[in-house]
Amino acid sequence: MRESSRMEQLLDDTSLATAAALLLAAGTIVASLQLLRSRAGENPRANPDGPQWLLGAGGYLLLLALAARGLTIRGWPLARRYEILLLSAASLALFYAFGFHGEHSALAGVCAGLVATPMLVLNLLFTPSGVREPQPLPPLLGGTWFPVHVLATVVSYGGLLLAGSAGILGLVSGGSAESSGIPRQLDEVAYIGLSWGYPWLTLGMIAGAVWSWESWGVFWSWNSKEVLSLSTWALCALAFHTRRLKGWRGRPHRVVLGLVLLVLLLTLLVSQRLAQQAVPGIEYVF
Amino acid sequence: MVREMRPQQIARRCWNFLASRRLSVFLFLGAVALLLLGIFVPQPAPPPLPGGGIAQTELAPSRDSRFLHWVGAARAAALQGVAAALLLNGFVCTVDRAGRVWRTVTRAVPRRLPDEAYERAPARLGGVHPERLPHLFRGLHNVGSSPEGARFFYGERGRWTPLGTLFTHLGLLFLLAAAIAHGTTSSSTHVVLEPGSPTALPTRSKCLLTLTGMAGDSPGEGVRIEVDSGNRLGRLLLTPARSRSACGVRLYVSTYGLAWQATAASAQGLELPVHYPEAAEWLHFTEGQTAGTFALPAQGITGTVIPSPDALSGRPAEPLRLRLERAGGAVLFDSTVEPSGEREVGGIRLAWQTGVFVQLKAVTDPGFPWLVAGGGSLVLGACLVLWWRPRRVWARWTPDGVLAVRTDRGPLPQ
Repeated sequence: MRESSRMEQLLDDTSLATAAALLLAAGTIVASLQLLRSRAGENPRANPDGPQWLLGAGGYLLLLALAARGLTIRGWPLARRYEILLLSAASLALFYAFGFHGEHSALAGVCAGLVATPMLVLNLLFTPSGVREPQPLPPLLGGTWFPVHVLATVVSYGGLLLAGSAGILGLVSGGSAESSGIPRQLDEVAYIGLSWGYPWLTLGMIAGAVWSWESWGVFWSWNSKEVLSLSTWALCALAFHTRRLKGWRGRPHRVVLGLVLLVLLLTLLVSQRLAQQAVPGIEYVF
Repeated sequence: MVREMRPQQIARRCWNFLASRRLSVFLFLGAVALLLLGIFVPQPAPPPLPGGGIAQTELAPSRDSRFLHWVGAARAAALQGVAAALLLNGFVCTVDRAGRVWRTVTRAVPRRLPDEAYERAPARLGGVHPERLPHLFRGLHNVGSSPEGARFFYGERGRWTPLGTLFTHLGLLFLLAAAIAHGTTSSSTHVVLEPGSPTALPTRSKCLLTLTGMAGDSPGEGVRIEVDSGNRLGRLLLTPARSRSACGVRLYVSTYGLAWQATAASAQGLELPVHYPEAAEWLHFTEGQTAGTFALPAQGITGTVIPSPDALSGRPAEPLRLRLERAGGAVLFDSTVEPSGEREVGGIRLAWQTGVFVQLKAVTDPGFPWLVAGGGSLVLGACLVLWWRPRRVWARWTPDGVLAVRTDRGPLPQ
């Protein structure tokens, strides 16, 4: 009995998520230091893969936290916004850990950490404990296509959040695409993120449409998540076009990437509240 | 000075304009702006839900969208116009790029470069033994040698991946077909299945559906339905999250609830009529309804059935309260009874039974296969273009052990 309660304490998802937040913050700091050293022309790194290890470990801890919640409810831990935010932070951290080595890795680490860490910390600080309790999925959200839809979408968020973050940093750091240096490298980081996220987002939306059709006979119903996802998808398609169009590269392209980040954050944070305002008591927004 | 333009030139300009990436950018911007505006700016209210009478558990999740009026946004002429223009742009782009992409993927590529190209190769490795070459660069094949002993290698991957651009644009056109098919030919009707009696589908009169039971102790866990399509008898298990196809339509559990029915006979054994609200054959307990009434008009008797909360959630095995009154208000009977039974009251013999009714939604939507084809094409195209970039590598090994390598996309990573 004592053993099992000790195990439960060890697998307590809040502790795991807190540890993950610390790792993500440490990874961001290490990546920033590496970037500053390389900018100053110093030998950049004693351990070049430090940020990847730290952010990757943070991502794995978040997956472990979600697995613990899944074991508690004996199902997919995908019913709460709290869980979707944990999964998105994990997706971003793991995408960075596996997708970037060598060139641009410190810069991409800063971009990933600057989004994943605040997202996780704010989620931990501002989600009330009652709302944080794991909850099984209602029967309506069962079926094969629902987890496919959610997981594909969240995997896409990893790449797209990174692309958006790189776009915003590119805007802040100034310069044009034609100039060399940080903005141009940020554009490349953003492209890698977009390239990873876009097919997954498309797959997630199609899987959502199939799930919706299987569950209630409508494949598109213009609800809050759908409209915001469609906006994100259209903005990504726009970013692929602006990246190669003369006159739209550089700053306008980065503004589009920044909009991708903004709409993604709206999708993750606001769409449920909008729907709850309209229909009091509604628990899940698709 | 006005320059005269021939019709072909005008047509060419129009075509180039429609196929331009700049137009795509503006149209995407317009679409995003309208979608985001639709979220925050109130839109005209959409028409009310069809067939919204019975609603024990409304399982459709689109109520919020109706409140937030995105349906209205989608119907706005501006958004429809931008979407149509975007699809026209996509179609013209597909046709315009098809030839170019095809030429790119089928173009003959020299497998051996002029000597100067190798001399200026950005990547040069020294001390390479020819035996190690396959380990150094997988996929390189020997494409010849020179009299001086130099060997030439060539490798490529992802030759066909530019076709992914066409797949993505084609996917958008399939989605257009899905939207058109959905808008013009889809249908959705509701059918109520009473316990035990067959009901014909409104759109397929030869198809009879009979509710034969439940998977658990409530319809929320699933209902068993027998389908008689005229030439074939089949059985289906439907749950709120699991729809099934039968008779060419897709069936969904839309609502369910408790159903109650009574038969009455006089002391002489003559059957007496029993009337239910809305001329139904059963008393339906819809969402929010805690009691139902029926009448025996010939005797001036009114009955009230009050199920327990458990029974109201669709569990027909729970006891319920039955109350019978004469027209003047005199109470003939008021007691808790079993879900099925009979009783003699005021000179009549009343028998009753309890069951569940299920309202199904029967949907036909020819747009769905197009949606799947479009989505598949989009995903396939995006993966090809974005994840599998074409690359060509040329290498020359000289007897002094120097391997000169160049690619069509800058130097190879070390």
